[in-house]
Amino acid sequence: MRETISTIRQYVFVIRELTAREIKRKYARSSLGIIWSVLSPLLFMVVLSLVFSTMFKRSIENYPIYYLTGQILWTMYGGATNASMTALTDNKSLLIKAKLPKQVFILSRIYTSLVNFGFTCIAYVLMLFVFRIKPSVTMFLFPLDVLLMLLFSMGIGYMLAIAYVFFADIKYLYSVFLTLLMYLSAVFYPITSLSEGMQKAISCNPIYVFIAFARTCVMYGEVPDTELWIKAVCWSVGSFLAGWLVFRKNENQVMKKV
Amino acid sequence: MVMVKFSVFNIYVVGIVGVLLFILAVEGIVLGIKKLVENRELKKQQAQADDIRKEKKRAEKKPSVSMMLIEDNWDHAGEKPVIKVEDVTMEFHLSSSTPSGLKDYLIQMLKRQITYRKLYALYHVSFNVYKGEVVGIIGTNGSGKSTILKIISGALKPTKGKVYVDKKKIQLLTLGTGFDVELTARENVYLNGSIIGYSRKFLDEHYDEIVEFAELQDFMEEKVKNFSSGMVSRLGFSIATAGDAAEILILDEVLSVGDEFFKKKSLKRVKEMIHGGSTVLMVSHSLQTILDNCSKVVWIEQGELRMIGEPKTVCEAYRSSKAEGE
Repeated sequence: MRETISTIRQYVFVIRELTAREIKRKYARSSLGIIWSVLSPLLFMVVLSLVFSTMFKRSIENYPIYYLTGQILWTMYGGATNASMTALTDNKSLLIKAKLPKQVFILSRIYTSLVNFGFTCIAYVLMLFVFRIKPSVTMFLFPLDVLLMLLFSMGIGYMLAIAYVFFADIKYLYSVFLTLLMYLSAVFYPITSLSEGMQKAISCNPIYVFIAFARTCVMYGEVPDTELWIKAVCWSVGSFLAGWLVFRKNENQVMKKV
Repeated sequence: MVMVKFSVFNIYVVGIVGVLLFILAVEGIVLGIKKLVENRELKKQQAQADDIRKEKKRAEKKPSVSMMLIEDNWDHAGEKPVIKVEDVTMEFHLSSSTPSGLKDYLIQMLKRQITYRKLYALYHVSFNVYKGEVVGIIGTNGSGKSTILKIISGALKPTKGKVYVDKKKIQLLTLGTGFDVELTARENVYLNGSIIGYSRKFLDEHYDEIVEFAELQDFMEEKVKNFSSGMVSRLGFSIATAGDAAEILILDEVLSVGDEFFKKKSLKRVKEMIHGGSTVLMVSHSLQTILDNCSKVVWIEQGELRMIGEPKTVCEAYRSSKAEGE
């Protein structure tokens, strides 16, 4: 029992150290540092609102918030998976020495993106006040949604990290795929403006599921319907398990290669 | 002016094109795989035949090798070893062609030009290490020394065979210590320390001691990228040997870094640890270091165990075999 506690402690310590390093490195050369995590989504929101607000005026009320909700979640997913992809190769020399399971390196990258997301949330909450979104109890579901999405990203991250070791080109393929996925996630347009078939296709997209979940509980103050719940939980748990299995199976292979 | 539903139209097209592309890619891959499977079956059979032939060759060679084996528990009868390496074989697959990119890779894969050559980094190696021993591992470059250390420390799993050791007790120290050059020395101590298994409390308590031993008091808030390589390895050494945490210390070509004074100092530290009951496993190219410090030497040549025994005997044999080669 005491053993497990100290192992978990060590886990937390390692992840925090690794994350601290990530963040220090990321903002090493900028003078505003982590404040960019707050600023950049706001700036994006302003730009996109300027461009699209009039276009979607009828179908979306509160377009800036609609967009911001999608954008911050999208950024978190993109950031988390992209960072996880190179987690193993970036830490080559540490991998050999690591006492804990190699998963910590990916976990730390995921946690880094969560920390970033935390700062982004400052901007988000601020905007919720500015645009007078009615506070409601359902907003407490938002953190849960974020956790589910993180779990989903973790699974994808595991798989990408393994794939990247054997096949570095995946980096470029994935960036194209990410763009495609973004257009299919209804981040900045209303899903109702698409044909029915397309709507069905998009509603299966996990990223859209998580974004829709967030919009329902934050913007509209409603509890998401059962279908959305099932989809969100299935995607996140499924992806996590799949990623974990892939990682476990290929761990040794990776060590040989690295 | 005609107003086009610009963005929505775009999304629609992108979606469809994307899905089409995806389907095409999947189709292509499936077709390719089907073709490959047929070819592969043939290749596999050939490869297996090859392997059997090689194994046979090795088996024929074997007797001469085991003749040179000296019983490695000559002075530890009945004692339980701290590290038990049992019949370890490590196989690497070397790709015989190196595709320069995705296109090349796909083309070569379709043509079945990518074949793998098997390389035995270690071949049926076994030895024991007992508590308090200082074991040196010698052998020429690429003979599998570092591989065996990695296997013992748990970073690699052997293809065949087993290693019995309590991995929590091991401290592995190699050159190229995995410092992040963008961080300060202090941050690196904590980052590295956490990775090799020290708790925050332990690091807080031993921080001053680590700094003092590395003689870097005035540089701890400096970024590591401004350090000389000697300073970096000093820091690495003092982190790994901090406190009395390590019961088994694995040194991969470490005692030959730093200036003369630090070399002496680190040797002293290692000797202290041995007196404190630590077991040390070290790899070095300097036979003198091995002769001076080890109580037992393991000689590995091209992945095979050649000899285990007293430092003098083994080093002598190693030297004369090298001389013969010339």
